[in-house]
Amino acid sequence: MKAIEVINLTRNFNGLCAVDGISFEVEQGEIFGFLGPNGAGKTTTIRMLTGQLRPSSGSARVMGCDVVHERGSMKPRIGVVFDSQNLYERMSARENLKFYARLYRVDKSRVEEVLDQVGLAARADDKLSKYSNGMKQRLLIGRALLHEPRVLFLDEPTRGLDPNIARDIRKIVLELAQSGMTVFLTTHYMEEADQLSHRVAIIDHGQIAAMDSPDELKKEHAAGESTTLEDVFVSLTGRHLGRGSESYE
Amino acid sequence: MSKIMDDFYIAFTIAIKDVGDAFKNKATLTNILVLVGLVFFFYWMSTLRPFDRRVDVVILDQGASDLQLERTTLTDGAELDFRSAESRADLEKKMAYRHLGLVLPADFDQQISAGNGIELTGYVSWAKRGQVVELENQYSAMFSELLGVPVAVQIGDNILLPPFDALGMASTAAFHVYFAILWMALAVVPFLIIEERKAKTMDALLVSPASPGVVVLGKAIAGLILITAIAGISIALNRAYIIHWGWAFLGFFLAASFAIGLALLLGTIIRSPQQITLWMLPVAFLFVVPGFFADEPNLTPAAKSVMNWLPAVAFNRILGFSVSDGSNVSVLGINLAIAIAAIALVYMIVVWQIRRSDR
Repeated sequence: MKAIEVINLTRNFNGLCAVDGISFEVEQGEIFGFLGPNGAGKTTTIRMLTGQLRPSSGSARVMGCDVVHERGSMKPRIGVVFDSQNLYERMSARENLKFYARLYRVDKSRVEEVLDQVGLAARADDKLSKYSNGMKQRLLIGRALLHEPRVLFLDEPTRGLDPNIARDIRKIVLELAQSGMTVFLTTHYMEEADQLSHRVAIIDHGQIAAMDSPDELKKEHAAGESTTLEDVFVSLTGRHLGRGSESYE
Repeated sequence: MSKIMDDFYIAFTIAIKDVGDAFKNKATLTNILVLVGLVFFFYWMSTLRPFDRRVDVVILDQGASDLQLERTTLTDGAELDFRSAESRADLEKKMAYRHLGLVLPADFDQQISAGNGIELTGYVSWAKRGQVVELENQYSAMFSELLGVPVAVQIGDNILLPPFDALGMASTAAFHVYFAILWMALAVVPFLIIEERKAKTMDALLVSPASPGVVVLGKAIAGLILITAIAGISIALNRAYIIHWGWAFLGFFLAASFAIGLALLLGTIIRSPQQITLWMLPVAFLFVVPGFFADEPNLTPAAKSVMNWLPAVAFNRILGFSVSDGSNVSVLGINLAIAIAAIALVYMIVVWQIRRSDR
């Protein structure tokens, strides 16, 4: 069974096509990078794959469950780290995790395990208003891991983070993949995708422009010895990724 | 565990989180405290006010006595204020707003002139039914001072129960409870949804085992817990007026269900807290005010016939039935039907809105 199977997935918003007939498969245990600039359709794709948004047409299955008709069975098998830090700010980290532990019917002892795993055990009872962005990002990952999902969706997990924190987050992602978890990662950081992903898909204007391992993509689109994924992206789409003032290290 | 039990467990988990969070949220806590203040304020400022030292008396004078019906202040500062009644029926009607009904016998003047004691028949409203002996002593002392002869006010079983559509204390007590329920729902429940949307925690809830319907059920349960607390204060303040507790609880449950549905609908349609605040007043006006004026005698027949179909009026009448003499059950049946239809309609729209949430 594939971890993710997507066939001709399309989503329109008032006549505007955000995702345009994309198809791909992700193997179990794979880190799959989903790259593209803002507005390319990355988040819309994640929202469809996690059951938050109904596709206009096409189909998708996650761990064998149809994302529209079998959402209930799919939910315990997926974890999602959103592109926003959507946590209950008036609660502590431990209270946030305990709430979700109850929703997922997970034993309370798992909360302590996860707090240890993401390095927040020492500050678990602090209100989130005292947390840095990096700590909140760790908590978001902890929340997504609480119920030990088979597939983890990470939507821009290191965006706007301090380079050291981003490195820690990437280390956590690699450890998860080594433990056999499938990771679906969206990012605009080409180096991040290159470093972490077994395969990447480059999405632009709602369509997949290319999909392969980072090394194969670089070989196919080699413009010189030091070709990067960014060069591949430019050669495929004719433009650079807009990163603003953010940096990758 | 069955799916339904699972869904209820998740809904209760969300509700407990929301209630706990409401007390940590300064804006929600302020709303709750303001409402508690309003509930007490309206209780004391309305005809229910318990601190008043004025005794409003309706006099049925059977012998056209010489007694002057002027407002009088007694030595202890208490006041007596008088209205006259033409008949026993008129006395009962006027007692909707008054404390004491008093019948002066045909030979009242002669008995006073003789300087002997006089016995007067008194009537009190049902809300005072537990204080008859105390009131007999209090009113006897007041009228003894006023008339200068020993007076014994005999109330006994003369307790006046208000009819189903009575104005005055009965309708005010029912309205007070309905007001607390509706305002609490509108001031708190929509924010439970809007806050989750604004912080995008709703997305995290919706990828958890909670379905959109269960999330809304959780919000509804949280709303019910908070409404029960505030309506509980209102019911406790007005407990003396309630005769039929079963109808009071049914009226509370139906009004709370409707109010929560209405608030959830606002929360699902409207996107920002500022817009909710703007909409709250017109919505409250539409769904609160008609309940208070529906039985006003000055309404035109056309206005009255429209009013009779409004949910606010129906909920007020059901609550009003609990403080009435229990007659006119057929009118109550129509109001129950309107209330249930309004609840069904509002929840159908809420469910329709939720089903569209992933589109």
